[in-house]
Amino acid sequence: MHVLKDICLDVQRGEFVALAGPSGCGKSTLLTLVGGLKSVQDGVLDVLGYRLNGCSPVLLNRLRSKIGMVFQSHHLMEFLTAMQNVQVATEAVIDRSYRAREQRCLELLASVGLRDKANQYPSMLSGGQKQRVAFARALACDPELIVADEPTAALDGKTGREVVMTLQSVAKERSISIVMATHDPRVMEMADRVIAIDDGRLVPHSSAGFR
Amino acid sequence: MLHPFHRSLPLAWLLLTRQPARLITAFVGVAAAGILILMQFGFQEALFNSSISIVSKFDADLVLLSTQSASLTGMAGFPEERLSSVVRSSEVESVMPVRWRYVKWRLPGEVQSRLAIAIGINPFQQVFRDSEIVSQQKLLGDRGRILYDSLSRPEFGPVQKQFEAGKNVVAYVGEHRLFVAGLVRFGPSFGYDSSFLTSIASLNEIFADSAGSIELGVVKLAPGSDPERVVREISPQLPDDVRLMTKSAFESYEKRYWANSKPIGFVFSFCSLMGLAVGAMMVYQLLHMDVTFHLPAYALLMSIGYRRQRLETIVFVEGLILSGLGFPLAWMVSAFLCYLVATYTSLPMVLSMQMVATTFLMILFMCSTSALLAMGKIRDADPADLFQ
Repeated sequence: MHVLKDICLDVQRGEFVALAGPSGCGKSTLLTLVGGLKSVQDGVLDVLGYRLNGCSPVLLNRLRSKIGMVFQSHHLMEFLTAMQNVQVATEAVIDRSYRAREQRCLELLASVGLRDKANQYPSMLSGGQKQRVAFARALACDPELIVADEPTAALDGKTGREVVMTLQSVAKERSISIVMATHDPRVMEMADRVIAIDDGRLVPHSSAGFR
Repeated sequence: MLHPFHRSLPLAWLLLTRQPARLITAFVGVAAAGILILMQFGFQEALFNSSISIVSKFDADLVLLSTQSASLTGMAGFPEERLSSVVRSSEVESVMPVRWRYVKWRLPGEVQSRLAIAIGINPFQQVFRDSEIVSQQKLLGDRGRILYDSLSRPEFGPVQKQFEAGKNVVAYVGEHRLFVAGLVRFGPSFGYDSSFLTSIASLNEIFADSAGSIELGVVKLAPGSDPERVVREISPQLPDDVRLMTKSAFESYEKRYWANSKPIGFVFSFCSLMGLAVGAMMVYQLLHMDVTFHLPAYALLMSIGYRRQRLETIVFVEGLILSGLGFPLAWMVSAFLCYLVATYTSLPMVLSMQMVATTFLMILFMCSTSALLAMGKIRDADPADLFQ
């Protein structure tokens, strides 16, 4: 059974693409494929120059280390501080010294406005702050692409938009592309392009029933 | 490869300490396995050392014994004249006869008798190098005198206490009266609980039917002689009923007897393996549960580019941490237990550095193997699940 059909999508460097569509339409499936978390059964998928059809686990790992991922739930490790949660992602990039990685983490936390929360555990942070830490973690490996799955779903509208705005500004600064699944029309407004999926196919955005 | 250990986030430690109750269980499991193994080693070493505790005090280079003797707990006699076959060699300085017999020991007023080892020597020959024995052995010149082993099990009666109180201590071997003339220290073994030194003449009175027969010949060589070469030279000239061994070969022969010919040697090895197996199960259980509990964390790490090999290294390091935590406790507790056992039983319970190092390697192996098995669970971590 094919979950996604006839999808043809090119994302430019530094572009912010919002994926819209009803629940179960295939947004998350597309993100798992783009993120290299699942292999493609049929068709052709090129991400950051890697052809993912029949790609080896080593290559998939290499790809993953170039993609920052943000999930609906923040998925922070509760036993690590904000700083350590970001540090975990930098440790996958083995060609940097410990001190350089540490410095990088502090900069990232500062860029999402949480420099002063570096030593706090997730349980001491608000929902918005946790998601910001998750963004900082996604940015930690110097990604070329950020894949985000409804990162504002668990936040109130205002906080959600602030969080996305922070991510967008950091991404623009570093020419990082963003592919973000979202239901929030105001987040869609912030995107450079909105693509809708319905029943596993790309459809004109207006026909997805959001505007 | 060194990366997970060097200047990086101590993920293994952080994951382990997240659930203190489980960590303590595994820590205690590792320590228990270590204690079990160390104590088995301690007992085994005590068994081996105690079995040769008297022989090791011989002032000898070679030992002559009957070919029928399987161990010191089953010595066969041979004619004393056989010693002359050995003394012919120019490199032999002296050859001294020794009697080695089990006797039934009993104190006056007691009905029950107990088995003890009686060692008969010529009181005017220096068979032992122990100064405590040398200084007292002339007392054995009078018939029926003995030097009693003060490390004997307490069931043999308050001999030491009475002797030190200045009383005349008398004991019976069969119908023969023996008088305690002094105290020496040999220590019990797994083969006997008490021993005493007496003259060959006194023992021959007890075992009149075997007078003229001895159980051991203690040979001292001239300074600079090579014991092994002398054994090679003399052995072909010896009658078939005796054999000559270096003292160290005789000690090894005795230890091998206990290790291979008696079930107790196997029991010790088996108990060590049991400890290892139980410890391995406990550590595996903890690590498996730990990986299961942290599957989302492992999935996340995979999603951000951690290779499976690195995640497996984290689990492996957790195993190493457990061995590092549990072993020192096992060592401390075992050392204390050995002290208690040695105090109560007078057995030479010592934890040598070699035993400690071997046990640590075994614990390391146990934890590593458990970790290798628990690593398989990481396969269940699917980063795609994070999108649901």
